[in-house]
Parts: sequence; structure tokens; C-alpha cells
Amino acid sequence: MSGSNHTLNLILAILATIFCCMPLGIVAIVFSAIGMSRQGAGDHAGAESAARTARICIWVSVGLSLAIWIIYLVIFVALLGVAVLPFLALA
Amino acid sequence: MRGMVERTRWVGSPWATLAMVSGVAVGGLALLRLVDPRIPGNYPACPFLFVTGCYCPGCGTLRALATLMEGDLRGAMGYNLFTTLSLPILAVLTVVVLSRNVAPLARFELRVPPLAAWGLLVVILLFWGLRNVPAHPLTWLAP
Repeated sequence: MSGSNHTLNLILAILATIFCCMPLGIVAIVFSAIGMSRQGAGDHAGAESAARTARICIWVSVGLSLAIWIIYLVIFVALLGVAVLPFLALA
Repeated sequence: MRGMVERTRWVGSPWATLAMVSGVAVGGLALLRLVDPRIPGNYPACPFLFVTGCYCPGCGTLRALATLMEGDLRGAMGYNLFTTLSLPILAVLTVVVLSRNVAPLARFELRVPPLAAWGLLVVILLFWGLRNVPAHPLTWLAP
């Protein structure tokens, strides 16, 4: 994995921290930083493994955040349905 | 099987990531224009805030972006200082990453020093802690 992908990991980790509200985003930033440090030290295998962990943390926080949004939308639509139904029955 | 490998490579490519992130960004900004996050009840409470009662580093991001779209930089900073200030940094970092994939620019090795990543981590953790302190000058950091 090249240095640019470690930077990309860092960008995604920060976006995940800001938008997903998950402490896991912080973990992703830590592992991106570890990856960058190891890459700089010439430890390519170690850098790769840290980057992989960072990616997993990023996607898990994105997935959890999406799941929460979808649950919220389902509840919202269900409540809207319950609220509108009596009016539909009257009409 | 070969198609699978090709697809995996495409999914992991920086261009695909940029396309996905910008797609989500455009959709998200459009949603913020349609449904104002500054009106309570329009969006669900962040799960972190709901469970712990504390502000996370991202709290106020939607309100900050909605305010920023109206050109009110000061107001956006009031909702989330870190998000407002880090957006240009993230934009520059993205250009740095993508320039590596453009042939004429690939020669310029623009490396983000690891120390910058650790520094960013410290800034975020400090921001997280300080915005939860209910004392006068620090309340400005709260959303």
C-alpha cells in the first residue's frame, strides 16, 4: 500500500469521526497514523496491517451510522403512516 | 473470479472513493437544504449524545454545514469549530492523494508527515474534551 492510501485512510477516518459520531472514528485515526508512521519507518508489512485495521474501523462506523439512519427513517415513515391513516379512513 | 478481483480493485481505488464521498456529500448538502438541521426534531439525536449525554467531536456538523452554505462562517464555527476549520484541510489532503494518480503530477511526492496525523488526533481529542466543559469561554466550542 502506497503512502497516498494512508493519507486517504486518514481523510476517511476524519470524515467518519465527524459524520458518524462514533468513538470508532478516533480508533480509525489512530490506526491511520500508525500506518503512516510505520510506512515512514520502512515497515511496509506493519503499515499495511495498520491500514487494514483503519479501513475496517472506518467501514464499521459508516455501516453502523447508516444502520441508525435507516432505522430512524423506518420509524419516521411508520409514525407518519399511523398519523395519516385515520384521515385516509375518513376520506 | 477475475471480474471479482477487478471489481475489488475498482472499489478500493482512490477515484472510486472520491466519487462515493462526493456523491454522498452532494446528496447530503441537498438534504440539508430541504430539511433544516437547526430546527430541533428534524433529525434524530446523535446516538453518542443520546447514550452518553456528551458532545462528540462531530456534534453540530450538520448545523455548521447548513450555516456555511448560507455564507455565515462565524455562525458555522459556533456550531462546530473543528468541522468548519478542517474542511479546507481535508480538501487539500484529497487533492494530495489524487495527484498521485495523475501521471504528470505523480512525480511530485507530496507526503503528509505522520506527525501531522498524530497532531490532528491530539487536536480532535482536545476539542472533544474541551467542548464538554460547561465553563464560559469553552461553551463556544459546544454546538
